[in-house]
Amino acid sequence: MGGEALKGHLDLLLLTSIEAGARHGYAIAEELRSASFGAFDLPDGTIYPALHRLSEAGLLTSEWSEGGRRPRRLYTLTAKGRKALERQRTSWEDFERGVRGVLALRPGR
Amino acid sequence: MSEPQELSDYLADIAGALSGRRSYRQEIVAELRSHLLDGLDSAPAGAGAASSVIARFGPVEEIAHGFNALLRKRRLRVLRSVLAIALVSAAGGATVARSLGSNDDPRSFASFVGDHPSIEVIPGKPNAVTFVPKTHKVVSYFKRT
Repeated sequence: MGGEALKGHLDLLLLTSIEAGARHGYAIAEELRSASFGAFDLPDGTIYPALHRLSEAGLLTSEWSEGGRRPRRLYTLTAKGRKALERQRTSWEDFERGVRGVLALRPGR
Repeated sequence: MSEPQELSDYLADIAGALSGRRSYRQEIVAELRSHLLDGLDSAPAGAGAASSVIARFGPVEEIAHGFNALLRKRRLRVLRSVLAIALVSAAGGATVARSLGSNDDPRSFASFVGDHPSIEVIPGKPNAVTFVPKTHKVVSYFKRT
């Protein structure tokens, strides 16, 4: 999927990746790439401004973790972020259902 | 693992393209460095490892633009808040001036201050007031009436 198309859904993807627990940027980027079978291949660096934006909006909190090989900033979903994720997920599912319905109109099906 | 020069140069370019305070820029660069070194750890060893990690990370301009746009929005929000407070304070001050200007009677002054929860007498200056924008007080004032 092209970068521009993906950016419109980036918040939903980032929040979903962090939903299961605290993640750092590298793990999030790797997860998006592998879970989408390589279809979502944004430049890794572009997810950081988005993570900072979501933090400023109160949807994520972050803290530096000193464990492991090097310090990493870990992002966690807030209660507000969880609600935003639910809203965005429902909205996306409605949209997807609609598109699938229209695509089913293809002749011969 | 020591940091390859190519990677240090790339991070220096990003730092140079970022706006904002030095501590803010340093924290961003530290986070990006951590990512790039993780990428380098996972990349196949070889002469082109740093180049491929950098290529995957993206162009300096695109990354810096993302952060700088965020900073501009934050500054705009702060400016809007300051302007809103200044406007509310000015409106409150104008109300006080208009009401006090019509009557110099100290009893009316005390009565006026007592009737307006958002106005407080300045300590040590019994004839001077300050406007304190406290929304909940204004709301409770409207409820009483």
